Amino acid sequence: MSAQRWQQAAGGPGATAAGAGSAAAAGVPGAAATGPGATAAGAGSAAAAGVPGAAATGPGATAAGAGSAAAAGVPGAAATGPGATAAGAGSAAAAGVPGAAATGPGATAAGDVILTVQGVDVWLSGRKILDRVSFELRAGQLAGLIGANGSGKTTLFRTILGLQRPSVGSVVIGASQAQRRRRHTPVGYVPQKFELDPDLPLRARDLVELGIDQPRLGVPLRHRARRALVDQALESVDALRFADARVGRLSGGEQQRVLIAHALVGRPRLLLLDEPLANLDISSGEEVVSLLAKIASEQSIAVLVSSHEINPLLPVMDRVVYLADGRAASGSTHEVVRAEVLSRLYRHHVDVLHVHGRVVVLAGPGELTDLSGHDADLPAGSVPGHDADLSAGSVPGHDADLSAGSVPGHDADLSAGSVLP
Amino acid sequence: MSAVLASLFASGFFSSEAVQIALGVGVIVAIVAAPVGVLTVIRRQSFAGHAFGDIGTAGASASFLVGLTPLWGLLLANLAGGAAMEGAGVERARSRDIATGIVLGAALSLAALFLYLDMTSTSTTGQTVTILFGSIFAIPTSTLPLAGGLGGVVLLVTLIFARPLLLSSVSPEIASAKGLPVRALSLLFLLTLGLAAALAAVTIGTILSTALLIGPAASALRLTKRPLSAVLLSALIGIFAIVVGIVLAYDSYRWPPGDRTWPVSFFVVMLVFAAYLLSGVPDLVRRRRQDSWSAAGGARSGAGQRSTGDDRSTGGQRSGAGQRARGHEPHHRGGAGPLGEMEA
Repeated sequence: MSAQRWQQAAGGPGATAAGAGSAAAAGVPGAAATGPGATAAGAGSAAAAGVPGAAATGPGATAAGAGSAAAAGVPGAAATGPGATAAGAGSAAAAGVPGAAATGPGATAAGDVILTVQGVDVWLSGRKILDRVSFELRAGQLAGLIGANGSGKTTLFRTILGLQRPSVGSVVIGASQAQRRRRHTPVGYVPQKFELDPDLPLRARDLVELGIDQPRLGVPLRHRARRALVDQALESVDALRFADARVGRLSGGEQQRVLIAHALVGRPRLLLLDEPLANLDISSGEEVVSLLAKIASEQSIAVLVSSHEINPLLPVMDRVVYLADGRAASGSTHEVVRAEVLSRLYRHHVDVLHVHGRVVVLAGPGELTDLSGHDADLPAGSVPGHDADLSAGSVPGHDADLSAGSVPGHDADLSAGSVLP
Repeated sequence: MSAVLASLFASGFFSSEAVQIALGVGVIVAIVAAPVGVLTVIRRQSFAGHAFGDIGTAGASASFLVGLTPLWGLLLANLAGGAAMEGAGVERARSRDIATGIVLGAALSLAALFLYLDMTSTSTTGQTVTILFGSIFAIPTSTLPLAGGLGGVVLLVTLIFARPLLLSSVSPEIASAKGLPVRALSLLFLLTLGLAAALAAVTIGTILSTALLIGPAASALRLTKRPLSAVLLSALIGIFAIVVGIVLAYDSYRWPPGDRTWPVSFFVVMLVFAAYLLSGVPDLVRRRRQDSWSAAGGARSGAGQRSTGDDRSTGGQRSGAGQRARGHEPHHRGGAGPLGEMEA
């Protein structure tokens, strides 16, 4: 993964802005906030992460923002230059997780840019669904795609998967353009709604096996090598104990693990999960979230998780891509979940309040909305969540999350309705 | 021993050419129906399978009018019908059923016309009965290689595309995210299902063809959790139903009213039905065992709960016994089957 092809966003000159914030910059509020909605390019220099060649900055077009620098335990990386010069560490995974070696020859070095979404516009039946969306994602990072229903999350996923062609802009995965190499794009995908028939004649391991080498033809015969791959994938999601159960009779959370294993067994460099928390109770949601963080760092892949609430993802997110009415703001949570950034994004005045370790976003007078949760006291080190010992308990807002767990999503929906023009 | 064999296989069973052809075509159909049936049940497209029966009726009755082998008529009608169903919109499950229903209705109205013309041109209802309920002992010799070739094509297609078909059946979303052409796969499967339905219709008639496609597969899916064993088991159940059905039909020559065999399709479908009922037994037994297990757990946790546990356990026993009794029902009812009288 050396050659980064930067597509010139046809979106225009004003599209990109300087986002020179870093996670460590939490203590440096003066750092330039992410630009006016359109782009917040977090082009951390991979050189800092010890990976030469990946340091790809466009011809001045994109400004750099250090992605979760503190995560790597390199607070010094926070010393970002103003705007143009890129500086910053890739992600915590760059700190050298030994598990990365286990992912085989196709593995990418931590910190490489895996996904570049550049000035993407998508029109569907005369409506602009995505409006100059730009962000990028590196190996080992877990990013939350946060937005209310109808904000464009699913369309963005479809665009990344190559199922939806952007009218302007580009999606680059690794070094290949998604829409060109659609059939071989190494993207794992876990859809939101899956209803597996209880009588489906598939064990969990059979479903995972179907993820190898699709669209390979032929009969699903069992080979030792394939079985080892399947076992490995199941183990990485802690699903070996129900590997031989009928997959349709597993619980929702268990089925989700199996589907994640199905996606992982194809050795993707990018894993997309559409609202994985929507149908889970809070404790299984927490398990899935920490599992995803573990996968991102150990297998050194980029993970993009969509959710209509931000709080459950807060403990583990390296990046957040915040969608509102098709526009996106991206960066670390500290960069994005701020009153001025969200106000620009929504084109409406928004207040961000910190309540019991969570963030409540107030949109307009008297309209209580909770778009996100982000803790002012949250130490930068706990944001990335790559530390193996990072348990839910180490997050200050843990209890608050639990107690208010059912409320946020509801409010987020409300806010979308009230804020969007 | 030989007496038993003699009573089981009436004289001339093995030397009869009609029986040999019937067995050959029947076994081919049972094998072909297995993978197609399993996929049909997984994809919940049993209704489409049934529609192919009705579409095939139109094709077979038309082929009689022009003097073609019925299999050709079945084939062409089903391929056209499959394309029409796909064209009418099968993207979502709901519109899929509507599209299937509309095509089915159109096909049946054509069948009504062609069957009427068949009857007026020959002044008998013999062909109508043959089309609707099959007459496996009257299959022309020339059909055997044709059926074999078609069966081979269907098997080949399902085996080659097994993995993509399976994945797109389990989750079209994941499949299309992987770049699989879900729509094309759906059409391919529909056409394959049409071919298999045409083959099944030759043996047991258009109306009952679905039973041979769906029944063994549905039974197998209740017994195993592995895709490959589901297909093998489904083939075994199908072969069993067809072969035993043919034997019983041949024997029925000696049964009342005499000098005539009962329709093979009656035996085959009833055997398939019995297999389906029996295939539910293991699950019932398992549930009953789980109940008694939880009853034992209840005993450990206190006397008050033990009685409820015991109640549940006996309840399970009762329903298990009821299921077994129902499993034998088709055999008893077989004596007075309405289809027996319909053989002209």
